[in-house]
Amino acid sequence: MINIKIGKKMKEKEVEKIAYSLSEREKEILKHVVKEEPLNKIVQLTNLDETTIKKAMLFLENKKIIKIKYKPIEIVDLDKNGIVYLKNGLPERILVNILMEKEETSLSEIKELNKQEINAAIGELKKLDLVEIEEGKIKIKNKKEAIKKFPQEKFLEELPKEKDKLSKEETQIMEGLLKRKDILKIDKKTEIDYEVLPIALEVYKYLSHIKQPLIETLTPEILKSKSWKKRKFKYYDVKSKVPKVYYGKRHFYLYFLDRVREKLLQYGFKEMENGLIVNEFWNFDALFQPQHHMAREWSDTYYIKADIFIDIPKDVLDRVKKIHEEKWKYHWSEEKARNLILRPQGTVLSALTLYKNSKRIGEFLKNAKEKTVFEKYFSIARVFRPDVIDASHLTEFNQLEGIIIGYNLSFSNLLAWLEQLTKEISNAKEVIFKPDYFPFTEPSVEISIKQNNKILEVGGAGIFREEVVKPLLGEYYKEGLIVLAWGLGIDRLVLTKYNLSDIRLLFTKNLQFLRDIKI
Amino acid sequence: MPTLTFNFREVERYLGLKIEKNLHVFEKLKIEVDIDKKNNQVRFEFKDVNRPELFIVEILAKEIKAMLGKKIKDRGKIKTSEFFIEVDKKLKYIRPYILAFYVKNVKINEEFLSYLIQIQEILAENYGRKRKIASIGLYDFDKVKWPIRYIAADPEAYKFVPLGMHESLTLRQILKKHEKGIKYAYILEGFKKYPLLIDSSKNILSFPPIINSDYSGKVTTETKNIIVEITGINEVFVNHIFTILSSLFLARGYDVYVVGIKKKKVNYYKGEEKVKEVDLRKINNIFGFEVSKKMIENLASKFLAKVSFKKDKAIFVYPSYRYDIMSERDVIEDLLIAYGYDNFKPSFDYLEYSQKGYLSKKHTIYRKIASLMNSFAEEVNTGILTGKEVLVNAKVDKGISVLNPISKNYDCLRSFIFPNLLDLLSYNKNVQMPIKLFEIGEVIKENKNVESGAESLHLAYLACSHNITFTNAKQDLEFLFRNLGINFELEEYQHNSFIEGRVAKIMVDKNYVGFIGEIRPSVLEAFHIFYPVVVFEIDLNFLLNEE
Repeated sequence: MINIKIGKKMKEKEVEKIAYSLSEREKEILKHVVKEEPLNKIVQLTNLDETTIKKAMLFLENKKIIKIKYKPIEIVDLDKNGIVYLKNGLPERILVNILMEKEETSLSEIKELNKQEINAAIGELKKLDLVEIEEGKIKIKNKKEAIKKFPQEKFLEELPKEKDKLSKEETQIMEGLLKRKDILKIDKKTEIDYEVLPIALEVYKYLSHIKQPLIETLTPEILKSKSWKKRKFKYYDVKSKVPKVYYGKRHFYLYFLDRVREKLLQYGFKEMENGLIVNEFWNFDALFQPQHHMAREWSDTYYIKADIFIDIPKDVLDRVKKIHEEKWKYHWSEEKARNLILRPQGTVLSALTLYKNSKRIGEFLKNAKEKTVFEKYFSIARVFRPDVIDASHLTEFNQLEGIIIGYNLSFSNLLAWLEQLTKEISNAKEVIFKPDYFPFTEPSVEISIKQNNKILEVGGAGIFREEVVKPLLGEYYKEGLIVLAWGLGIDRLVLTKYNLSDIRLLFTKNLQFLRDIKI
Repeated sequence: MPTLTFNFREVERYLGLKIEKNLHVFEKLKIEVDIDKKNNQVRFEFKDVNRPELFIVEILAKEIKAMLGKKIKDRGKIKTSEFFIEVDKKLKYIRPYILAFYVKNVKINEEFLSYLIQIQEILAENYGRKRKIASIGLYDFDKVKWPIRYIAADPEAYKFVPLGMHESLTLRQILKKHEKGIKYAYILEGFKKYPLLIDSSKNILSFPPIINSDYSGKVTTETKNIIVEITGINEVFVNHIFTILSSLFLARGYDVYVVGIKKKKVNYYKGEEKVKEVDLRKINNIFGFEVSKKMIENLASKFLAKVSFKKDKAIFVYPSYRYDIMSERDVIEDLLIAYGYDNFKPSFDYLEYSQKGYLSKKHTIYRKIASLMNSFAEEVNTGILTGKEVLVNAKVDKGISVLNPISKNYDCLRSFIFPNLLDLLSYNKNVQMPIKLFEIGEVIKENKNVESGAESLHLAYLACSHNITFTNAKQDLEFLFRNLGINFELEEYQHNSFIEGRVAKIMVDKNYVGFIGEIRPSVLEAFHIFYPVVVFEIDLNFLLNEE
């Protein structure tokens, strides 16, 4: 008993909910739907076009009042000859008209019809027993009958018709006409039919309880006139789909880089900044890469020619020249050092930072007695290499670069920092260190991460060679200065983070991709 | 990075170990191993470009064994010889350095011969920088009459039959006709005389670094006694290659006879061991703990170095081929590697020192502008390297060209950003409108007055929909400047990219900072865009000075 009662209440609630969710149009359609009027009748009764009604019916279906059924149907309609015959008469009619005037005629005299049409016309008229042929001449047998409308003519006039609804006689006529050229065609269509669900009538009845029209859109007028107090609101279908909108959005990759910056700031790193165009001096010579080093060839670095001046102060130039000639034993060329390039590595920023801060570093070293950090610097540097672009290579990309300047820092200190930083940025559980080679660091480390049982190389690090640090600092250099340096291929980490497999996506021109990717 | 491919089973047999079980040893020598068992091949990638000696299997075997605590002794000995090479002083600026040795009764089978050629090739091509810095020649000792003369020769005065040809050519003809001559002619560009090795019977040995002669410069399986010669423009490289190649023969049990080099008097290159003194405090500081002398000895032995101690210094003696040992730090790295990177416990003892980090001015501004712009526009990221075509289509100055581009899509530096935005738009024909984009980034213009080049930070904005107008762009611009607290004015302007009468200069404090306008149909057509587009672009440098 109790259950039934609750069930009844729930149903009432349901009816009410649906009634309040109906728009004026849906209500209008519902009026006809409860009478189970066919769609074409509703069109006539409402004076609305079919699409509008169908749309409203879909909404009624969403509200579980009706169930729409889609039925494939075949429609018999006029084809191109059929249209002409309907207007000018079927060939048999034209033939009858000729015979009415001439009593009899030979086949070759008929100019109004082609041979095919004549044959068809004679065939049809013979079937109706209206003509006879004797010695090549056609003669009408029954004039009175011949004037009457043929069943074919009647059939054509009544088209289009649904194939399944044709009578037995009509089907025979149709089959006959289908054999003739282009008189009829059969179109396949889907017809909408619907089933009225039991609740529909209750909803319809309930509508009479709603005296005032429901509020569709809440307007300032309704609020000012306080009419909302007397009226009820139409219920919205909160589950219905809405059109997508696209607002402003950060670029996922640049956003990621910004978050990495944030992390480094938290660790007390200061951001380094310098131009994209540098000369070979700051990028290679100051980093102890000999002028014959392979990275300094056209295949590895972008060279440019422009009227741009980049200063190399005499003191540092002399010191760098001296160390190259002493250690690498070759004739160092200032001309080569002045070549302009697009920076191929972020480490150039570290070299410039050391030089620019040499005096301050000198003061720090003067007072340093035990293990201390002086300053930490980082940069997310846009760098350029003439590599052919594919899924894992870009010609323009970013490197996360950093240095920790201090006194008597150890190799363990470097590894500790690298492990912490790499884990934090990549979310990897395991960081692997291996010996590596870089021209400007000794010792050098290769940094890899282990993720999903795959090992991915993500960067390199080391302690700057004395051959790098000494010429940059000159008189301010003191034994015990240690510069820990590291670089991470940040782009690879972005790919892992966003689960992408093609590095070109970081610079994609596909706006839809950018609109859809999570930040 | 240089790579060499070997027969897998043969290398394992020679090294006397299973490579897969000893990958950690290869790691310590900075060699990446790639095994292809199916094809019975192993590929070594050498990361340390200053240790070409590791290309030689004989040396590699020694180094690996040492790392595993075993020692291999050379069976051959270094000896001086009665023969010498006379060097012409005029070579000083052309290719001054030469060293040579010879070995006797060498068993040369096909395999050894092809190995020698492979080694010669990679040393000269890779380490010798395409033969420019150093190159190698092998000769049939029995066809040479000593002494050999190394001379600066007139390109027309000498003729010989080069390897791989049948006719006799002058040196100049070789550079034009011979395959190697064409390939390496660049090395001798600008010189009036060319290096030439000629013996006492006036037979030419070779035209270094281009090609050997067909007569004495041809080594085959029939050759018994071989001369190995290295010429170059850098003494270190020449010496280094000498030690590498001589080590190869010494390890195989051949005595190496060093040929004298006569400039004024005859000198013999001895290939001395490499000695380096290291301050013990430096070792301790970098290790982060005190390393005992016994441990130092043990670690050094893994890199074939002998150690002795003198007060607070350790003196390390390395094999002669260790040219990469330039300073104390190089020795310390060897010790760290021998100790094992895995064995270091990460130590944060220094990170307690806390400091305040800060952003560069550029990124401070970037963040502020980006946060305002992305309240109504989508951020995009196009490159600084761009195609000239894009700039030309947008009717702006073409940027600075790259001298060695990889493709015409990346052959210059952008001078403005909005052409890239138009380019991006042209790839998005079926994307739902309206589209509002922005990008903040560097552009490059030739301008001597700016230190560190001609870079400035720009903001570019682009909006497109079927009914977008100048007004929309101006509204968005006003929104931006209002929130930055900056007053601006628009002044009439002419610009090739924009419709006349629908473009303006953006002025702040009477200074030009950018422009705003509606893109000309001819420009839209060039990008195959069939909707109206409005744009503004601002040079943000005026904000840099304000922050």
